[in-house]
Amino acid sequence: MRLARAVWGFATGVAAAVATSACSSDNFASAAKVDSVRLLASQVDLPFAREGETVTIRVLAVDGRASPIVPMAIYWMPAPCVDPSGDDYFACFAAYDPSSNGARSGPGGIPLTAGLDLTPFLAAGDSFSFAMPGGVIGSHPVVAGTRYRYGLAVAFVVACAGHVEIVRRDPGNPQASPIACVNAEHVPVAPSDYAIGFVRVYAYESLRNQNPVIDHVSYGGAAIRAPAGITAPRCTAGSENDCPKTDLDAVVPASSDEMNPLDVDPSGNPRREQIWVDYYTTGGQFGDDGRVLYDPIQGKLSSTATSFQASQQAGNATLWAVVHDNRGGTDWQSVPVVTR
Amino acid sequence: MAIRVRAYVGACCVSALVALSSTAAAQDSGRADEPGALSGSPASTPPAITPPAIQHEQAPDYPEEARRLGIEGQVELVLTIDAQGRVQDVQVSAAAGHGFDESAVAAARKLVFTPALRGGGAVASRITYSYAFALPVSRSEPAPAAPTPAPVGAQPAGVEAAPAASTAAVEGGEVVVRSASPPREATRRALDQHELTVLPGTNGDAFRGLQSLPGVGRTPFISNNLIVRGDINESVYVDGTGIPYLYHFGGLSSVLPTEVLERIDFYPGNFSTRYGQEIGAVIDAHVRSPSDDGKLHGLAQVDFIDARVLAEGPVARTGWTFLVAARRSYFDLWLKPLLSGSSTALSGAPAYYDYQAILQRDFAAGGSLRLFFFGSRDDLSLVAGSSGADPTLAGAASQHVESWRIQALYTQKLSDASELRLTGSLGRFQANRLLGGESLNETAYPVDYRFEYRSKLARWLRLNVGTDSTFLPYKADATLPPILRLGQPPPGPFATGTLLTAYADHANLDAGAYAELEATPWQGARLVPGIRVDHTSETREWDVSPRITVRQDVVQGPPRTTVKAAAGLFYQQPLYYETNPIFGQTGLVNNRAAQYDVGVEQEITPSIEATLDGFYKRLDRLVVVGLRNQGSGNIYGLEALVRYKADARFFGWLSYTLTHSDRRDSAQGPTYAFDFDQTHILTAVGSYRLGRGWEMGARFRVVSGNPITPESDGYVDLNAGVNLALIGQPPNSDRLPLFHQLDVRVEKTWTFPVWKLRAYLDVQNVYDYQAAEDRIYDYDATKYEYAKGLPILPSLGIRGEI
Repeated sequence: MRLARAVWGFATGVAAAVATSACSSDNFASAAKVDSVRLLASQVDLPFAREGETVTIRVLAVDGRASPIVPMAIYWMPAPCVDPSGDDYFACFAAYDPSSNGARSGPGGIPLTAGLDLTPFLAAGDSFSFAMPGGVIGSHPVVAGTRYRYGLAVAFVVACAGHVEIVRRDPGNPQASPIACVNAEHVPVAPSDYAIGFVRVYAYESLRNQNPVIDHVSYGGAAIRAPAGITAPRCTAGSENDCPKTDLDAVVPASSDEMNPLDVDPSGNPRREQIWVDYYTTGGQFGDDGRVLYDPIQGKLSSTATSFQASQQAGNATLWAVVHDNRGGTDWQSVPVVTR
Repeated sequence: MAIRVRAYVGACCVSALVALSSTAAAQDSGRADEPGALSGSPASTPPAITPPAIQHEQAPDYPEEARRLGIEGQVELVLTIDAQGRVQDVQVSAAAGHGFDESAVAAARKLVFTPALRGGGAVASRITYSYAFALPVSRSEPAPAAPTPAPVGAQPAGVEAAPAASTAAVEGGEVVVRSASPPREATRRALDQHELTVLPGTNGDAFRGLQSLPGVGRTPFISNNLIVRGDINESVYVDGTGIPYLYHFGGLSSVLPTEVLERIDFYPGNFSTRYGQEIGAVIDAHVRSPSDDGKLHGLAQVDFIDARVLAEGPVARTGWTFLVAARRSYFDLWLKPLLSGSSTALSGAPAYYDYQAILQRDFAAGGSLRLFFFGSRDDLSLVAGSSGADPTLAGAASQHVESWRIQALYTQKLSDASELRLTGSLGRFQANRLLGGESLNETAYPVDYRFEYRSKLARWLRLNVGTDSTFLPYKADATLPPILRLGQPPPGPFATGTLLTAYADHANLDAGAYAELEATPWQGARLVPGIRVDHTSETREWDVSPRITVRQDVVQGPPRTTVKAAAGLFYQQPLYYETNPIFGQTGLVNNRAAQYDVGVEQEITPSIEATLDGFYKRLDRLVVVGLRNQGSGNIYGLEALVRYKADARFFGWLSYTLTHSDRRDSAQGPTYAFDFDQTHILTAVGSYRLGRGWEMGARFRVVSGNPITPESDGYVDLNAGVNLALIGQPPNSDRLPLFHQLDVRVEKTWTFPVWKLRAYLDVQNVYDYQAAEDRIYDYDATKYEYAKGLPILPSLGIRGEI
């Protein structure tokens, strides 16, 4: 019976949920440890925009390098990519290919010349605005199985300790990047010196999504008061793993857990959003790097706190709690950490 | 450390079921001139005699010469049994020739009896005994045909990986030896029940034992498919009725326990036209008959993985026999500790269940009816923490899969040369899965039948014709992300991607018909041409599948040398979601394979045989996501096997498989290695009976690592805050390290007058090799290491048999 041949394909997904949680390697540096150029999050003021509305994206970019020689800068590709084929972000890359249709310039008028410093042609800074194009919904192919028609704009951002250039892509790999962060010798910098990110902004005729809101972050059960942050004694244990652990929790009110008309149960009733928090820090470590706060089925989960262990080195650090919903909504709080 | 404790009662009690003629036994054992005769007993009032009963028997081999010539025969013997129950002498009182006599005498010498009793004391005895050798009319029919007596159902669960080898039924002191039909396929393997039970590293699971055969690859940890000849397509049947899945979750155990099986027919390729809708392999498990010796038998088993009960026997004075069995896992006991150190918490009791019930009756007119009810259920429920890789893999995750079937199997011998076989079943399949905001629910009510008529048209020619059909009404709803094709870079985390919702309320009707000839036109030759026609409602397609197998003994032997070849066309309909207009594509046609086999079989000694098989499979019209039927592939390889056939002391084999398996998504796309392209597969298996009830065995495997697709640093999806790796192209351009593993098993059996006690230690991965199952990358894919497979896994068991 062919019906059930896919039964265990999904089971493998469940197993993957177990495996990723239970079998991740202890030998890798945690994603929560920020010691390089990182793009941690973005926040769109209108996660579900309407045609013609101006959308502003704010990005949380961090330079966690200990002693950078070239400072990190943030650049945006000047025009968002609208309705890429299959909604794939990498379908936008062909427009930046120097050999693409013999065009001399790409989206936003940037010159398609390999080896040319593009930074003068790019928008700089930690925020970027654009107008959601008119007709973006109508030009997007109807996707069977979706309940609402939508349009999509994809914005690209680069955090780069160098400058940005057009590069020739691997023609056999559609995912290969058309741009690179390079040094003065036009050599791509190390992965620790750059990050390329993208932000999807959806356009709907009627749907809206509000960004979730972090009410506060609690440490040891008490709300952290800005701008004081966390003050923790330096850990003197032989191993960082043996340092004292203190509960850390991002408190998000139930009002942030909106109904999600895009996700329906078998009866056609919408479920709620999924909301989770990711933690990052430049000093110390977490018990879990992320926690689910609201589940589409179970709602608010009873146990949402992770633990935080201060660094073994005295000094100042920063901790970020980034809350996401599964419709592109985001909020974050940064917390100063002083280790004495 | 896994502790496996088994209590096993009465599943293999052929010996205890023999109802010998008490008259003959009394007459023979009363002879005063026989050793051990009761010389002190008064002649006029002899005490009551209890005849000897078989404790251990081994079915005779069907003589190769007679089998090839299609000859049947019966051998009458006189056995002299000493006061310890051992056969001291065997005399042929009625010979049959053609190798029957030698085979019968050899088998009779291995019989072990409970000695005859007179006045409470063991005495020597002499009895008559006969073996009837019969070629089955139906290759897969386990029940004997008239005029031999109705079978004693508690014969050992003869499990084999090919059409039936010899099986035995015993009644009234007569053993019916039923030979396998001469091979209808170019390549077949056979393992008996003992081999599969004691095969190291399988815990006695018959289906897992298949993984030691040539051409069968290594199944990765937490996988539910067999990898056969570079492919994962396989259809699993129970006596011709398709079942939705072979293994419980994680592949720990198959859904049918070995104790209810008689044998497994395993066709790695080029199978008969009686099977359709499959381009890979076919596994057809045959359920055994319940015990019909008039006594109740039971089984209870408890081990680390699961607990099991089984009961069988007669339904009083009705002529029916029954078997009921059930099993429940302890999956949760080891999963909970595994997850205790993580942010994943079990919110339910992950477990599997399965159950079986059989009612059977044989009729005087050569008919037999069996009703078989079986089902299984798997549950898993947990709450996972944020994975750091994809938030979708967080939150509530659960899975419930359940299915049951009721099957009726009726066979009727119409004449000495013809019979029919009819199988019908109906059942229910349900699956409910939830993963974060994704869900998938399916319910189906499959109804199917299979009919076959077999007739001997002439001494050298048989005809097999049949039809089969499956009606599958189903309902499904799904809220899932779009399905990616292999190697397609992920569009982003599912959590922030577009979810698709689909509903289906649909019914498929698939039907097929076939005709096949088995011809032996000259000495040593066997030709099996056949043709099959299938109609698939989902694709509205008619497919015609011609197939042929040719075998020729070039040296009659012994030692025998046989060359063989086969070719055929095979079709397989798309998976149900592939034709769904939301998740799949419209306008699909059936997948297709052309298969070719050539080989040689060389008998070296009566116990040792070597085979060499070459195969080539051309796949085309494969369904590819977004590209309809543009996929294609090539699979070719060699299978070499040197096997020592099981005897009273030893069995073992050395096999080597060389395979190449590639795929191509379209004519313009690159050719890449198949996911489980395992170039080299070397397996060595041996098990030796040391005496005094001790048996020791080992299995060693060396297998090439599976292909993998390298990743490197890519992009940050800022909607979800996760890094997306740059996926290398073409897919599967790299490979995991070599896999090797040693498994050992030690077993001790204590035999008592009415029961046996068995203890065993089965150790998987003896030297704790850290097999690489996958690559794990760090968050930005700049570093990787290997995910490790199972560590050393000892399993201790105790089993009692009555």
